Amino acid sequence: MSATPILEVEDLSVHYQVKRGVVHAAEGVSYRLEKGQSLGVVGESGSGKSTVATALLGLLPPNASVTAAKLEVNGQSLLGADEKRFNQVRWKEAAMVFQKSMGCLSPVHRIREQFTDVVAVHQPNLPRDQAVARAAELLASVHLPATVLNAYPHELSGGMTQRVMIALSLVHNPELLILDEATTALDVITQGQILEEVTRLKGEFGLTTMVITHDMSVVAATCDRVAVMYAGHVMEVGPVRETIKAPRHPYTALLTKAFPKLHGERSRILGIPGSLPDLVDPPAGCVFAPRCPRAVQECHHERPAVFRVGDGHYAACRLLAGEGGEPVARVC
Amino acid sequence: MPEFAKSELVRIEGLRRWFPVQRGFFDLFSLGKRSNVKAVDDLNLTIGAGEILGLIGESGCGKTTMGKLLVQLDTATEGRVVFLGQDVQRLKGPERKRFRRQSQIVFQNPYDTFDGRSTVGNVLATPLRVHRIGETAEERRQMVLKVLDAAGLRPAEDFIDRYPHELSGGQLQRVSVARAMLLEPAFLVADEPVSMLDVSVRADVLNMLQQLRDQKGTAIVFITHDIAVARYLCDRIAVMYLGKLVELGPATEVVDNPLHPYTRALIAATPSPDPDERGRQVVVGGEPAKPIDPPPGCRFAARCPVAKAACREVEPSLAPHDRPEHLVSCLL
Ligand SMILES: Nc1ncnc2c1ncn2[C@@H]1O[C@H](COP(=O)(O)OP(=O)(O)OP(=O)(O)O)[C@@H](O)[C@H]1O
Ligand SMILES: Nc1ncnc2c1ncn2[C@@H]1O[C@H](COP(=O)(O)OP(=O)(O)OP(=O)(O)O)[C@@H](O)[C@H]1O
Ligand SMILES: [Mg+2]
Ligand SMILES: [Mg+2]
Repeated sequence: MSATPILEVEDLSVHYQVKRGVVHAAEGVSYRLEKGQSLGVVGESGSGKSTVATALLGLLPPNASVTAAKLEVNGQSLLGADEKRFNQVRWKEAAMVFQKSMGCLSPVHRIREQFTDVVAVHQPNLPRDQAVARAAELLASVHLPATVLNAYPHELSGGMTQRVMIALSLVHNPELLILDEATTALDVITQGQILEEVTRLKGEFGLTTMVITHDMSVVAATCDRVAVMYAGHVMEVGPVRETIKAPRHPYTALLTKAFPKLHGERSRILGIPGSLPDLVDPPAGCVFAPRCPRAVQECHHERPAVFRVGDGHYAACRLLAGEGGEPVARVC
Repeated sequence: MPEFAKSELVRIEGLRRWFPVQRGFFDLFSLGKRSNVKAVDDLNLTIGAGEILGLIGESGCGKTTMGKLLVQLDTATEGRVVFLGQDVQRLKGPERKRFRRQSQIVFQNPYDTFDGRSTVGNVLATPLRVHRIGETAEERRQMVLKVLDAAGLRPAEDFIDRYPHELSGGQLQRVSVARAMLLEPAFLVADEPVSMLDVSVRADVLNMLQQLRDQKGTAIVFITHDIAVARYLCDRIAVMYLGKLVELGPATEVVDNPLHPYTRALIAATPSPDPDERGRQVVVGGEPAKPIDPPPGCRFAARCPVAKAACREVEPSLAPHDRPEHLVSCLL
C-alpha cells in the first residue's frame, strides 16, 4: 500500500455544552487513513461516530468545542482553520454524505439547482449545460434516471434522496469520501449496486473512504479496516476480517456476536445488556467497564492503555497486557 | 394461522396513489400527455388486530406512500382504507380525533419529525396533553421519563431536557419511536424505525415494539429493508415492487421459501456480516421500470430472470400458491 496519508487525526476530543453540563462526545480519538484505503466505523448509537466525522469538515454546531494534537486532510492542517479554509477543503479534498441526508437539500429548489450550486463552489465558470451533464452522469452511477434532476426533494423517496446525496458528494472527485449511514434506506439490491460503484471509484481513482454504519455487512463488503467506537473512544481498530473474526476487545466481541440470522431458528435478539454511560459524567476508568463481562477491579478506576495486537491491529483494553499485547501511544 | 387473523383491524381496498407528473418532472416520458407516478397501484390487504406485518421492497417502490395513506397523512387517488369497519376518509369530528390517536406513524426520516424549538420532553408530552392522558404535568413527565428509559436513552433526566438537534441520529430515531408508542395506539406504521441502530440498541427497540403488540394488542406495519429483522419480528411479510404487492405470506415462509422471482433476488442479495461468507449475489441486473405509465404485463418482467413472453402481456394477480396463506403474483 502506498503510504500517502489522506487523513491523520490525533487525540481529537469534542465536547458539547448542554443544559446539564458538558457531553464528552469524543475523547482522544486517533484515525489514520492512507490513499485508497477504506475505514469502516462502527459502534453503539451515540458513541461519537458522526461527531468525529463532522469535526473533520469543520461543521460542528456552535455548542461544540474541538481540541486535537493533529488534524490533517490530504497533507493540509485544519487545526483551528477558519470557515474560508474549510470551504477550500469541503467537496474537493473531503466530501461527506450526512446522516440527515434529507435536511441537507434545500426544499424549494429542484435537484438540478442543488447540483449546479455544488458545482459552482469550486468551478464557478463551468457552463451550466456541462454542470447538468455531470450531474446526470453521477445520477446514473447511483442508478437514478436523469429525470430526477427536475424533481423537488419532497418528491423523492428516502432511498432516492440518499442516492442524490451520494451523487452530489462526488461532484468534485474528492480525495476522501465520508459516508455517514448513507445507505440506510436502500434495499439490499440497490445498496449492493451503490457499494460496488464506491469500490470501483476506489480501484480506479484511489478514492479513500470512511464508512460509518451500523451494518457490519456493509463493512465486510467495502472496507479494509474497521474502527470500533464506544462512548467517545476508539476501542479497537484493525483489518476487517481479523477484527470481526478474532476481536480482541470485549466490546467488539459482543458486538460481532449479536447479529440476527437470516435463516434458522427465530431466537430472541439479546443485544448487549445495559446502556451507554452518561457522557456528561463518564466513568473514571474504562468507559465500557460497567457493561463488560470481563472487567476486573482496575478497569473501573484507570483508563486502559492501548495495545498493538497484530499488524495494524490495536485495542484499548488492559486485559491485553497479559495476552501478548505491546503497549503503544495510540490506536494508529 | 395465528390468532390475530380472526379479527380484522385495517382493510385496504383497491388503494391507489398516483402523483400527477408536473411539467418538467419526468417530462421526458410524458410526451405531451398527462402522466402519473403510480406509487401505490391497486393494493388489497387485510391487517389483523395485534398482527405485525413486514413491508419490504425496492427503494422507491411505494412503501412510505402506502404507510402515509394508512394513517391518513395522504389521500388516496382511488380505493379506501377501512379501520374497524369504517372508511377512514369519511371520519369526522370526535371519530376522526379518535382515529388520529389510535393510529400513529414513525417517520422514515427522524430528522424531519421534530420541531427544533421544543425539548425532547415537550415533544413527547404534547400528544399526551392533547389527548388528555395523565392528570398532571408531573404525571406526564414521569410517563415520558419511563419511555425514554425503555428506549435506552439513559439517563432519561438528561435526554428529557435536550433539543432534538442535540441528539445523535440513532437517539433521535428512538425518540421518534417513543413518541409513537406513548399513546399506545391500536395501529402503528413504523417506517424504517431501526435503520440507524446498531444491533445492541436495535434489540431494545424491537423488544419495545413486540411488547406493545403483546400487551396492548397493537397492529404494526413494519417497513424495513432488513429482511433478517423482518423475519425475526413479523408475523407476515408483504413484498412490494413498483407500487404492487408481489408476495404475501407468513414471515418464515416468505424468507425460507420465497415464491416470487423478485423476492428470491432480494433474499439472494442479502449480504452477510461474516467476511468469510460468500458475498451477496446480485441475480437481477438492470434498472427498475419507471413507475410512470408502466408497460402492460408484470412490472418485474423486464428484469426477471425467468420471464416468458406472456409475462409482458398479462398482468398477474395476487393468488395463493401451495398454501392458502402464502400468496404470490406471478404467472409462472
Ligand atoms: N449538538 C449536540 N449537543 C449536545 N450533545 C450532542 C450534540 N450532538 C450530539 N450530541 C451527543 O454526543 C454524542 C455523540 O453523538 P454522535 O452523533 O456523534 O453519535 P453517533 O455515534 O453518530 O450515533 P448514531 O449512531 O446514533 O448516529 C451522543 O451521545 C449525543 O447525544
Ligand atoms: N409528493 C410526491 N410527489 C411526486 N412523487 C412522489 C411523491 N412522493 C413520492 N413520490 C414518488 O413515489 C414513488 C414511491 O415513493 P415512496 O417514498 O413511497 O418509496 P419507498 O418505497 O418508501 O422508497 P424508500 O425505500 O427509498 O424510502 C417514488 O417514485 C417517488 O419519487
Ligand atoms: Mg451518527
Ligand atoms: Mg420510504
